Amino acid sequence: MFSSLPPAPAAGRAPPLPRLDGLWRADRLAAPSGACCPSGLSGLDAVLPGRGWPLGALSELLIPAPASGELGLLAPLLQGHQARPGAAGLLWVDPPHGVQRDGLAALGLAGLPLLLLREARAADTAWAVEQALRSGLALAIVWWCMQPLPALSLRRLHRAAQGSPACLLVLLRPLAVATQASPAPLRLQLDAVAGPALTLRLLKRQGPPLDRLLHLPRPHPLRLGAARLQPLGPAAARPVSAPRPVPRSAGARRLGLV
Amino acid sequence: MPPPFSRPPLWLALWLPGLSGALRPRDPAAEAEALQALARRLSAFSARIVLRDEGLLLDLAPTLRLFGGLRALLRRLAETGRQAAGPGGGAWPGRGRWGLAPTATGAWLLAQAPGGPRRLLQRHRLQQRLATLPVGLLPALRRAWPAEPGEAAAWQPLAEALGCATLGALRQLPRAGLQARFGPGLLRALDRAWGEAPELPDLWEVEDPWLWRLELPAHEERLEALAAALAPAWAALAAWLQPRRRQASRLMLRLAHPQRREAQPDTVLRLDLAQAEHRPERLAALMGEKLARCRLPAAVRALRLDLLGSTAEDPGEGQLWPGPEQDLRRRAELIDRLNARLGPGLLRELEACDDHRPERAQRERPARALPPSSTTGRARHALPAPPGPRPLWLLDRPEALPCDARGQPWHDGAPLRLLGRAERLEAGWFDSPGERRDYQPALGADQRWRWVFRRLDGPGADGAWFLHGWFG
Repeated sequence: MFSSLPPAPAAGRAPPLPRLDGLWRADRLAAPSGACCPSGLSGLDAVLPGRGWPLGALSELLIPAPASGELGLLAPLLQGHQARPGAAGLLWVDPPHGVQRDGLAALGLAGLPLLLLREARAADTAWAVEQALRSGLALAIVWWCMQPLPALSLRRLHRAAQGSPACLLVLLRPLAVATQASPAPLRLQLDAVAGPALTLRLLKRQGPPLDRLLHLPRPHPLRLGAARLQPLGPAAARPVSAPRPVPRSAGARRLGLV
Repeated sequence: MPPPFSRPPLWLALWLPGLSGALRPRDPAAEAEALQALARRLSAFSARIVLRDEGLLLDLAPTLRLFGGLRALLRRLAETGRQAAGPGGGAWPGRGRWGLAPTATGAWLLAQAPGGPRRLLQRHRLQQRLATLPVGLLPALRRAWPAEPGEAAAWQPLAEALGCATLGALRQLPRAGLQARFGPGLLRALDRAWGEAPELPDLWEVEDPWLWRLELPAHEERLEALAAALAPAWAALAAWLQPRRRQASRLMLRLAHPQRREAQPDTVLRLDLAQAEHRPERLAALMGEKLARCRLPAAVRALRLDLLGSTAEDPGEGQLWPGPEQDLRRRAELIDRLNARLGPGLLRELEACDDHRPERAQRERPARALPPSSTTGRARHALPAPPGPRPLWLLDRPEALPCDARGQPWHDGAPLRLLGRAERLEAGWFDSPGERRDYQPALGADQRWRWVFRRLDGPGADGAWFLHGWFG
């Protein structure tokens, strides 16, 4: 039985890996397994596998507190999702405050219907998000989930998201869960606002870890009305350098964490 | 009156002598109920149904093409019959027999004939067969039509006294003499059976409103068992809705509890659907969600399902390509499903209102699914752009801010830096004392954008600052 194994490859050169779905070398960015939605921020797109947020997968964004600038990051993404053919609308779960219609329009998000889900019990909320994913609608779902969520719920959500390849699911969670494991293939962390830009850390992606911080433009309130016409001012149009090539000698320290 | 269909009718007669069970004495009320139930099932196949004393007649001609020909239709009818009869009940409930002929009376006689062919599609073949049927079928022939005045009391002894053994022999006797002895009913019934006189039977109409009842064989507390007991109701409801081209929009399920010493009121579950529905499995799933969330005060002895409202069937159903209508339908289904478990009011949507005050420019209302025609017009409706910046997040009620000596507002222990020019909003004079506010974005020490306003003339507080929103 053992004799039927192929001979061991010559030392020094690894055999080429077979091309399989969901398999990638941890020192490179993965090829996207499904569709991706560009985040609208070229600085962020450049470091994400598939050049955008994955559709049909759970994505996490850790924020210091609700309403601390996460919409500056998500609004271009949601706009991009709304522009896709067949997009069905937005579902916001447990948003921190009341939503103002004109503010929604200023972010360019008034084109499609918005559903709000508030004040349901935790188990019911997770069930409702799962049902929304299973409905087959191309919804963009954002959940301000500030309570701890059991790992089983996270896995169920990810599983349900995988079953609906046109759905965008972003889970906003507190900074305290940064050290906990999560099935989400993309995890980002938004630092507390400290200046005119948003500071973003990439906690996890399907690729090598990113050491630097990302500084992304933050929409100025006095320029918000114009955001409907052009994507977020001059900062978004600036070309951003490609991700740094990873030296071959980097070793295991640079392997992906997935 | 000519029949509404150009093609000749094709009647399927079902003779169900034992519908009320083998028990004697007969229970006419139970028989009628069982016959109605069977007619409701069969109404999925034809709208032309005639109820008779011990059975029913079904005109298959109008729906032959719809169901893909006679053979396919008969197969489906037989399936339905077996379902109605239940396990071990035979082909039709009540040891039923059938006959198929171009005349209703002829089919009715074929079904009750002791033997021979039951399916005669051509009129001359039917006539040949009818002529050989024994006069023992005269009572059946008589019951096939309402009695007319001046008829002889019993046809069969009279015919036997005349020496006729078959219907054909009877019909060959001189008509004037027959009419004088039997009354006009016999000749007319025979002519109708032969297809030589028009048949205008009274068509059966379903009683409105639809309802379904079930007495459980034993008191039941488990919700899953109740949901399972409801399963035939959904099939019957679908069979009722389909020929009417209607969809259920409101349903009420009533769970009756056994009456002990004190009266126990029924548990009532209501299902209000944003998207009317006719598929039994969807209706069962939605009511199942409701049922799974309800608390039963006692065991259940009987179920009753009422259809409270229905709407005309949506013509967009069953489109080949996915389109915006299908998305709207799925969205409505999602809203229905979430509301069924969460209860109404937790899932909301924004509604625009005509008001300049930011807190009244929109309202959150329980989400409901709009029909496809009305949403497209609303979505395209362009909103007038506000003159100043608007934040996304709006506090439920404005938060009063402290001021320092120079009139600078503070928040979170630091002074706020005001940005841009103030935007004056002056509204509300039409329904309240009215208010003038100067809105401005403001930057705090934590670099977050706030939306603050100064109340110029309010009740008591002149020039006071308030926090009203956050920019996302």
